[in-house]
This record gives sequence, structure tokens and C-alpha cells, in this order.
Amino acid sequence: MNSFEYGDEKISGKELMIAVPSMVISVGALSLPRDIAVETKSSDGWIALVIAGVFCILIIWMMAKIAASFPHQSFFSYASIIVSKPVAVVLTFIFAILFISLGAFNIRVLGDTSQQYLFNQTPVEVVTLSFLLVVVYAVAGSRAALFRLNMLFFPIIIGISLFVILFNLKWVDWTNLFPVFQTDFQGHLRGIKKSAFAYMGFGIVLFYTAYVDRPKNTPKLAMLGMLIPVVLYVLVYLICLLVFSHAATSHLLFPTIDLAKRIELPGGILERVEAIFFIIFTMAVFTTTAMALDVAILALQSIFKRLKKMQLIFMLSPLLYFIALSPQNIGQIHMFGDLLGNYLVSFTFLTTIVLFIIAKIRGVKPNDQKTT
Amino acid sequence: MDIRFFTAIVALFCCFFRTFSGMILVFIMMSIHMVNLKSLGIPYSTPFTPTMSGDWKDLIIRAPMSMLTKRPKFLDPEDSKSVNKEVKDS
Repeated sequence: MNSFEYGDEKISGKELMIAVPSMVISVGALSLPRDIAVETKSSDGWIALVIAGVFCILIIWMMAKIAASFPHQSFFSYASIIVSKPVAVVLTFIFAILFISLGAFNIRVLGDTSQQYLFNQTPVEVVTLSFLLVVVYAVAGSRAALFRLNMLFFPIIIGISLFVILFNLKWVDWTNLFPVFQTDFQGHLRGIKKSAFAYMGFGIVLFYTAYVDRPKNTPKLAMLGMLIPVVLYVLVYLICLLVFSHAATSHLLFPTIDLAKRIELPGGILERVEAIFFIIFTMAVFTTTAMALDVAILALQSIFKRLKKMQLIFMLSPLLYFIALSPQNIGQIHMFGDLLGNYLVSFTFLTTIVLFIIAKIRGVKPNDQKTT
Repeated sequence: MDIRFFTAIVALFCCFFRTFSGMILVFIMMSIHMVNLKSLGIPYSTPFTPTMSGDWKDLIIRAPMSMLTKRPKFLDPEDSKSVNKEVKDS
């Protein structure tokens, strides 16, 4: 009868569904149209985005399927059932390192971009540090609260994105769309690789399914959640292309912010909409960073069982700050992002596929032990 | 104690350094605090973020009395029909 409890360490399937898009939508969305337009000719980037998106949705289905067959067990515990325990330790450790780097990358790009658009006199270190402190405050609370925070912020983020898309429809020039289907196979492959980078971070499903109270229909909900960023990214890319044309899109540094800059409200009641867009986008970056840090803590906590959460936070946050500030200029940041995308995406894909196949071959029985 | 002073100090700070997005950090911090609050075991932000859209019509704008026929779901009542409805039925 009692359909819900407000237990602190349990989340509902709907909350996981919202967590996936809030994790995926991050700083990648700001430079996404440029990254893809560089690799593909005319307006063909959406094909790469859709193919990469469908692939990610498939992988996310696999992840949720594996994780849901071991309800209420952490990634480390079911990975050590499927593959042996030492391998599981290595996998969990690599995931932790990659998610810390993802958080660091997000913070750094946010700091750099806000310095460029909002305040040019504050040093990056201060912006990054103040943002990191807020992230630490969020992670120090309970885990269910983090999910509630996602649900609170998600409608606002989607709302501002749709607002930017809607108010740019006035500037759309349909001739920018043609000629279609000009890109060769190699270009499409590179485009798919670039757009898979934009989707990085969906590996959280492997870790957070352990906290879903009834993980029966988690695969469906997680797939539905992944569909949201795919549709949003395709829309943003197409609008960028239709407004700026291909040549301009491939030369802008952050086309999505420039898209927001283009908005003119009737009567001119509000200027510089891009500042508001960017500020709201800070919330999207915030949820991504907080969850990345939280997943890293969760992963490390399952290996080192004796460490407390607060100890791990105080150990990891200086490390995150150090990684965030180690790139010196914008070229190195891009290099760091490419490297991180390469490793994170390929590692997530490989781990999921290998775990899925080995679980099928060895015929690991799904079991319901209550050992989180 | 007071969130007003904190907000005002941060706003002053942001104004002093000519930054604009410091306020969003305050907003996020307030949201984090709100989401971590609990009263009698029920989260403070209840009808919004453990989402129960049925309760929303009594939340921001109060719907007409004739539409409020359910008891608030977050209290997990044994009888989901409200007294209001029962009076009308009889």
C-alpha cells in the first residue's frame, strides 16, 4: 500500500530519468555546433548526432539492464560477480578518475567562458574556486537531495534552451540547409566521434541504478531520459546552422551563446539575453559537476569501505581543483577535453559491452542480495 | 540566521567586483539548503521534486474549491478522497 518512503538513500525511477539528461547537458552543448560543423560539410551534422545518440541510447539500455538485474547492489559488487574482483577494482578506480576529470573539465570551461562573457577582471582561479565550493556544499548533503536538486533545475534549463531556440526562429534562413548529404564516410565517422564526446557522462546509470527502489523498468526510463539531450542537441545544432550558416558556425568559439546573443525581444525590454542564458546554463554545469564528483565518491567508497564520505570529499576536491587549473590556455583546455572524451566514452562503451557479453556467456544469475 | 544579510553581502560583493553571476551561486546554495531540509520526515520541497503533480493545484495558485477533491498525496493518506468531495456527494 505504502507506495513511497522518503528514505534518504532511495530514489525513484523518474528521478534517475531526469538525472541522465542533467548529467549529459553540460559545457559540451556550448561548443557542440562548432565541433560538429568543422568535421562535416553543409548541414549533415545532424546525421552524426542522431547516429551517436541512438548508439548511446543502446548502450544506456545495456547498462540499465545489467544494473537492474542486480538490484540494490553497487557497480563494484556486481562487477566483481560478473568479472573477477581484481578487475572490478581496476574498473571502478578508472571510472572514479575519469569522473573527477570530467568535473574538473566542466569547472574549468565554465570559469573560462564566464571570464570571457561576463567578467573579464576576475581571475579564473576565483571563479573556479567559488563554483567548486558550492559543488562541495551540494555533494556534502544527502544523495537523494542531489537528485531532488536535479529535478528542481531541469525544467528551468530545458525552458531557457527552448526559449533560445524559439526566439531565433525569426532569423532562420532555409537556404543554409542546402545542399544536403555532401559529407563523405570519413567525415561522418569523425562527426560521430565528436558528437559522442558531447554525450559523455551517461555512465552514471551504472552507479545510480543501485539506488533505484524498484529497478524493474529502469532501462525504459533511462532510455527515455537519454532521448531528451539527443533531441535538444539536434535542435540546437540545426538552429545554429540555419541562423549562422555552415561557414560561420564552424568559426564561432561558442555558437550556442552567440545564438542567445542574437535574440531581440519585442520592444527591446531586455538586452544581453546571453548573460541570462549563460547564468541559467551555470545550473546545468553545476548539476553535471556535482554528480560527477558524487559518482567518483561513490565509486571510491565501494572500494575503500572504511573511508567516510566527508573524508573523501576533502581529499577529492583539492585534486579536482588542481586538475581544473592545470591547462594553461584555451588550446590545452580543448586538448584536455578531447582526451577526456576519448577515454571516457570509449571506456564506458567498452566496459558496458564487455560486462553485458560476459554476463550473457557465463550465465550469471540475476540475484537480489541486499548488499549495497 | 538570516538569509537576507547573506544575500545582500554577496550582492554587494558581486557589485563591487562588477560580476553578475555571483547571484546564481547564492541561488544554487539556497536551493541546496532547501532540498536538504526535512520536516517530520517529509522533504521541504515535496510537491515539486518528489514530483506529485496532483498536489500542484493547491500550491502556487489555488484552484477553485470544487476542483480540490483529493487529499494531499505527499501525506500518504489512507483515504485519498477529501472531505470536501464527500460532502458534495452526500
